[in-house]
Amino acid sequence: MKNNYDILVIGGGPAGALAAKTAAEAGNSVCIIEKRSAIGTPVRCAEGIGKELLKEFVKPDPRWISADIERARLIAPNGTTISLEQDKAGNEVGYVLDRKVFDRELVWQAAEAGADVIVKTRATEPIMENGAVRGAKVLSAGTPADIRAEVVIAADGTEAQFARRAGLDTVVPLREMMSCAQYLMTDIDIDAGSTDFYLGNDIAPEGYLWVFPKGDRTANVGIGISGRKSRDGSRAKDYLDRFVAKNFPEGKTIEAIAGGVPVCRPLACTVADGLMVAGDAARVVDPITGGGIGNAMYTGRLAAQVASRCIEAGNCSKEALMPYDAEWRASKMGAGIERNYKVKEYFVTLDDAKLNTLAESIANISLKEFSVRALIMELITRNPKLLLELKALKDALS
Amino acid sequence: MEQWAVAPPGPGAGRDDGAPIRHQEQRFRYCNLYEEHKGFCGTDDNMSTMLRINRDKCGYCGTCVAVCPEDALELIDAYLSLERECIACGICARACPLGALEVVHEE
Ligand SMILES: Cc1cc2nc3c(=O)[nH]c(=O)nc-3n(C[C@H](O)[C@H](O)[C@H](O)COP(=O)(O)OP(=O)(O)OC[C@H]3O[C@@H](n4cnc5c(N)ncnc54)[C@H](O)[C@@H]3O)c2cc1C
Ligand code: SF4
Ligand code: SF4
Repeated sequence: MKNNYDILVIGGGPAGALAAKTAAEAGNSVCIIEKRSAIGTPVRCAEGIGKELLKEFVKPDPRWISADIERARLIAPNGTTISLEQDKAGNEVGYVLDRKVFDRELVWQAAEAGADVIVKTRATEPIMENGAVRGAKVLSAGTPADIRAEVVIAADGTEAQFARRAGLDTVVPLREMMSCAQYLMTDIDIDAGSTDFYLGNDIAPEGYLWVFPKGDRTANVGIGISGRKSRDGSRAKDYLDRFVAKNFPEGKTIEAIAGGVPVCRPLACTVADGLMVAGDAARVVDPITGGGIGNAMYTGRLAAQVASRCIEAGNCSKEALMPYDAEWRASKMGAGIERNYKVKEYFVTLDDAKLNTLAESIANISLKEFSVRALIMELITRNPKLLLELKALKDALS
Repeated sequence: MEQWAVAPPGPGAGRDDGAPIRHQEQRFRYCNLYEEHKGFCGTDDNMSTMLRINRDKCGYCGTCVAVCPEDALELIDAYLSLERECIACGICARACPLGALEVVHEE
């Protein structure tokens, strides 16, 4: 094992892969370490992504696309359904990916660009010198080693322990951790062109339940609930089991996974001396949708671009790396997260009656644009009586 | 009866001597469990509290790791392990989607 690189990337998810690919293409020596023995498994994802977002980073390939989505449906507690159709909205909806293949493809591309990849190798703590990160202490299949680097990009996902051990506060408050469970089910009656989101405090308290098709009669059926609502007897798995027993009693589960989606605000600062944090580890998941694949790829790529410049200039201090933090915060993604965080904070206060009223008010709309923002605008226009209450939402948009 | 795997005490876990674990209020900036737990822990010196990991239930997802205020847990591939000092606050047990963690109180 080589033990000195320009850039060391911790974690082989979408954030780490894009970081390593970008860094290698810029001519740096770079290495990804992944603690699991295989890239991409077990999946911790419902695998949905917007088409336009995806295309910013990688050319769509049928090998890792499970389904092409034409509509999304929001189903309120009383069954009121808001259907958002691709042909009515101007923009495209999305894909449901096969992340086992997708994640491997991204890492493969990084390797092809020249990055080293080492699996079953876990970063245990940062190598710190004078308060700066200088690499990582790792356990590679049980054997300890030191890997030194000019910059470490922590893309270690939900766990986010590397940045934490370098002194950043990455702990997710219980109420802002979406506790998730998902079954990949087959032999079920679904609309293979629609991603369905079920809302309601009896269905998924402070979260939602999803059915994302993976092809005909096959779907990711999953749920996320707020950690503060999670207790014995009412955990994510319990809610999911109840839904499945009622809706897909004959379905067969061929994969069962769990996961946690941080829906807190992003880290207060995503850089330190010699360290950058990207993807879920930086807590840049969309707080409303829980979507984080695109944001992970975006922050991973940006981190590597800034790191490359800093390495060339010979200064990898926190100050020098700061343009990364500033740029993603000012980006469309950063603004979207801030807005959707406020929107989420409003939605988690709603009881089922209010959710039903709001859903009914927009049940027959056809949106010109397919986005959370467009949906909120519509809610505000259609509920003049709730103006005062929806003010929080309106402020979030401005 | 479920077979529980009892989490091995990690370095400095201070659990071998059976000493009770005290809740420290300032550590609870992350959640509101202090109120729920204070009747249990830290008030009775004869009570020892520990975290049990049921590896048969665990789906190795890392959710518990992300919410632990003490950075006590480690997800090693498909194996969750208590590696550092745990204050038995129970936050991880609440967050677990599958109910694989339990704080147990023993006389
Ligand atoms: C149930 C669920 C459903 C979701 N659904 C969607 C969805 O439909 N659409 C969407 O866009 N997003 C979804 N997300 C979120 C999405 O999965 C994440 O945002 C995305 O995977 C983040 O990518 P990442 O590269 O930051 O982290 P990850 O993909 O989590 O990758 C991090 C990697 O780092 C490794 N690692 C961790 N610690 C170490 C260490 N110390 N040393 C070495 N390696 C380490 C991990 O093993 C892992 O492979 C969902 C999440 C969950 C849990
Ligand atoms: S949250 Fe539960 S299922 Fe996930 S790793 Fe922790 S104990 Fe296992
Ligand atoms: S009980 Fe508290 S301190 Fe112990 S592992 Fe769980 S979250 Fe961490």
